[in-house]
Amino acid sequence: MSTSSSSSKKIVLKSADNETFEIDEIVALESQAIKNMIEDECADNVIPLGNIDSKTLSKIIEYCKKHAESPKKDDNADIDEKAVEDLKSFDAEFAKVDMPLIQDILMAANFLNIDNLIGLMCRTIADRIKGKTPEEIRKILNINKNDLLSPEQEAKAREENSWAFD
Amino acid sequence: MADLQFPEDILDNIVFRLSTKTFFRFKSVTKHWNSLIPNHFMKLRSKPLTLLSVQGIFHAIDNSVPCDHLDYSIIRSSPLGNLEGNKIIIVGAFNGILLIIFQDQFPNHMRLYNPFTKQSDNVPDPPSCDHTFIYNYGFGYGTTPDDLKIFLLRRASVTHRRSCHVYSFKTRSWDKTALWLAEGYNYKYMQDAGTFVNGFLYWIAHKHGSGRLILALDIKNMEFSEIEFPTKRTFRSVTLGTLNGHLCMICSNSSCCEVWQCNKHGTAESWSKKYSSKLLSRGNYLYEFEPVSMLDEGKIVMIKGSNQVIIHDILKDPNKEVKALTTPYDISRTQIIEYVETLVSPSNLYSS
Repeated sequence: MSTSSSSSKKIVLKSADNETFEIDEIVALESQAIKNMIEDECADNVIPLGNIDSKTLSKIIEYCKKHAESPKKDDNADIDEKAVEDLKSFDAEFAKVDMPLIQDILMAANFLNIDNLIGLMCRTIADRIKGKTPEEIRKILNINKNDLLSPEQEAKAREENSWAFD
Repeated sequence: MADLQFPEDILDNIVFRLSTKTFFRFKSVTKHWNSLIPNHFMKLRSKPLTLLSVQGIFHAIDNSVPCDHLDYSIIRSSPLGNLEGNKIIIVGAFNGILLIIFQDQFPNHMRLYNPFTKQSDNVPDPPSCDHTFIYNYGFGYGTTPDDLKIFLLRRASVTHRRSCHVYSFKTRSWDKTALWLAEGYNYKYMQDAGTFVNGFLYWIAHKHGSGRLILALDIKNMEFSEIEFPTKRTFRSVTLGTLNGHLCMICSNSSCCEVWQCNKHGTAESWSKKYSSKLLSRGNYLYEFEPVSMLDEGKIVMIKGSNQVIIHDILKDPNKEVKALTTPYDISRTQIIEYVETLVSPSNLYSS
């Protein structure tokens, strides 16, 4: 916690499993959705997030804190190279979690409208399925069996782009 | 999570980042994606933009969006900070990734660059490549896009031998091939980077004693052949490009401008005239025009004066300017190519 945090405004987020998280408003503003709520003055002291569990929410807060502390890219051209590197390695570490959590974070980030986090999670998914076969991709993403292509459809897809399956 | 249903924009965000190979595999993962991808994603990934290189800064223009000044071009990015004074060649673009040559810079004179994400990646120099030789460049594949290669052709010396360095994205390594071109020393190349169309690289060349012709390199068989120009008329300026997926040639001089399409590779009889302009020959109109590029869907890009870009749709309505852009720069030596936006990382181009 930085020393200035005692004086700044607090926001309380409540997860689906009723755990509450008190955070600085500046951290909450990383979420465009919460920012809009605050600007429209329709946010109460406690913002209930009924579709995000506490495990996912605490990860998201960890991300927002770090990004809120870092100098913003578009502020001016003289960005501290070290800060950029630091944020990069934070992001890389942050993404080292299992696939179900990545998907949960992605859906939550989408709901909260946190652009950078959506991008990070999509990139992580893209990196993990890179070069994998369709079967492996299904396994990695834990795809429901009901949603698979029929054997005929799959054969057709393979035939059309056979070079992609070598 | 048993039932994975990404919202469409999330799915787009992921798909944008996949290399072509993974992209096609991804498509066949689920019913939903298989049905979405042909209609939706392909459209997203295949909107061609016109890219201008102006003094080391790349400007991408969307021809369907009205704008008349380069300052409003949608993307502006420079591959290496300040490039002023550097001679760069854009060899070509695949999957949204450009191959750029820094002509005066050895080593590290080749770079892959995604102008959309601004990421770049060095291509290692081939062994024994240095600035004491003059090279021609090519970027293309023989049969399938995953067999993409970079070609560095050393210009023939008096020993008549021409060697070619080939970089394969499959193996991520260089190979050296001897390329036989009879009397190779007789050819003078008129363009640095070959024009890639359907498994062939084409260069306009001047052959001692015969005049101008097109040199074609068959990538699959690594063999050279010559193609005659479509017309015996003399044109001040000739430029190769693609039209409807075929090789085409824009010929112009002060009195007219013609566009020829080569319908069948290697046969001089298959040239057909697609466009012949009287419009541009009004008065001294064409004196100021320099056709620089052909966009595949039939648009011709010209530079007027030294600071205006004019685009005409020669197939639909040749009399109407599709786009006219004014720039504050001298763009008379600009390179203009077409590319498609992707989030593919240059280091992942066609790797699996």
